[in-house]
Amino acid sequence: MKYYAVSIPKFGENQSEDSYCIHAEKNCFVVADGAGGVGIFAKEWADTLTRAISSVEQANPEYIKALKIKFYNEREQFLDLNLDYFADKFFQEGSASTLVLADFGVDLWEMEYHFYAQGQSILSEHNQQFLYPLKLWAYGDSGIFVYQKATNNIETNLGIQHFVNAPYLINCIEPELNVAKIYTKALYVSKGDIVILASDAIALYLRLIMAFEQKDEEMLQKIIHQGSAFSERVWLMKNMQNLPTFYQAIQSFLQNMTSDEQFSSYCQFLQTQNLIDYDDYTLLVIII
Amino acid sequence: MQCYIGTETITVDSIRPDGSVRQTQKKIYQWVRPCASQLTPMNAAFLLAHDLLVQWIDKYPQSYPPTVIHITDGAATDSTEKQLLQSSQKLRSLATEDGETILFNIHITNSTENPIYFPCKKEDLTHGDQYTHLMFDLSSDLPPIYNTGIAQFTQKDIKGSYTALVVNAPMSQLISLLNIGTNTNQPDKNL
Repeated sequence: MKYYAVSIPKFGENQSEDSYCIHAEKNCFVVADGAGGVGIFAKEWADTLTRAISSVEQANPEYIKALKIKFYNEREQFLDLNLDYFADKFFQEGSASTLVLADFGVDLWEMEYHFYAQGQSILSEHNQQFLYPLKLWAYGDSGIFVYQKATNNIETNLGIQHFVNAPYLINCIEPELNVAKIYTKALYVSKGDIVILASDAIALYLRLIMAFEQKDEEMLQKIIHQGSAFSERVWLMKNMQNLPTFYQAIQSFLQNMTSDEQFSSYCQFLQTQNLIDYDDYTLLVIII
Repeated sequence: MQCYIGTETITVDSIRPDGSVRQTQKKIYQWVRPCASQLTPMNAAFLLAHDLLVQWIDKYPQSYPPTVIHITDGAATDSTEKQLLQSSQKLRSLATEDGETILFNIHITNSTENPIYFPCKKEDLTHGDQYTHLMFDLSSDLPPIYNTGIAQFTQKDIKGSYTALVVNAPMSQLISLLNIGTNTNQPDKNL
């Protein structure tokens, strides 16, 4: 398994409010997009979530609530000692972030060995390759995509609602998550498949590419009728001569993940084409 | 240089993630002393808002567009209806890359009838006073992104667009109205 990750701030700014963490020992990949428009400490909260949550099992409302309380209490103590204008913004609005996880759970090579040893291999129907279990978890509009090469199938958490509504956010002052809005999925992947985690600007671009590739006219029409910036983007993409396929779009990103500068230059190119929003950009690509 | 005219300390409640209530003492600054007297220079207010927003948009061209909240009895004393329409149009046409300025009129009348929220057409203005129709003409058409929030608030779904006007809304409702489309953490629960 190979993985590539890059995270850059908005053009002209020094710090991204996105965060990612690769829990290599657990084969768990996490991306969080701190919401700068809500409260303060967005970056710190996103970092807290990506570092503290290293499996889908940990991404449960009780554990996240415990993280919220700890994070809140630490900030409350700090702000009580350093009371200023921003303190009130924290106590009233909190700190908020999205969160997405791709959790392979076990070491893939060990698992392959184990299956051989136990004689209980799980083989793909398509190419007789090993199938590796993968669990996905998402809250908000950061995206996870699983591209299954053999079938050209793409699995994702993102749907029409992510183009229409403000995203759900994990806010440290809100006691409960809206569990109905947690996306979870368990599936198998095999060699050559690609798993992508991205913050919203890139994720929503990839989701539109996916909708075009799958000729999802219902979704595209709904976005057009919404009359938003996304509507203009759909029109723009409809009229593009060489709109990439999902796989080609991923390959283009991969080719430009050689350095922060190269990635920034590519994102800037997409942004000037009005294909992605002006935002922090985080992309994590895992090739099985 | 002290620009404010005074300060006041208030207690603000907020909820901690464990459900307990935190009370914070907050010093607030008083910048103007509200009073009700003299005339209603509405046209001058539109022109002043226009000049301020030209500077602001120049500085933040990629921002979400400004929302101008105009609370009025509607009886302008410095201009004709035609001049007001021109000034409001000039104000509403100011745009960032994300869209045009929204002029949101909150019209207060002596009517005791029920409030009118976000009318779609003039026929929806079933009461009010002689200025209510003018207020409708001065108000922005709201972008579709507001539709869901308004439909939930008014329990009335429409095809077309809502107008950024409310007539005789009570103060408690005004706060909810101003949250529509601006609160980033309360998405539509239907989707």
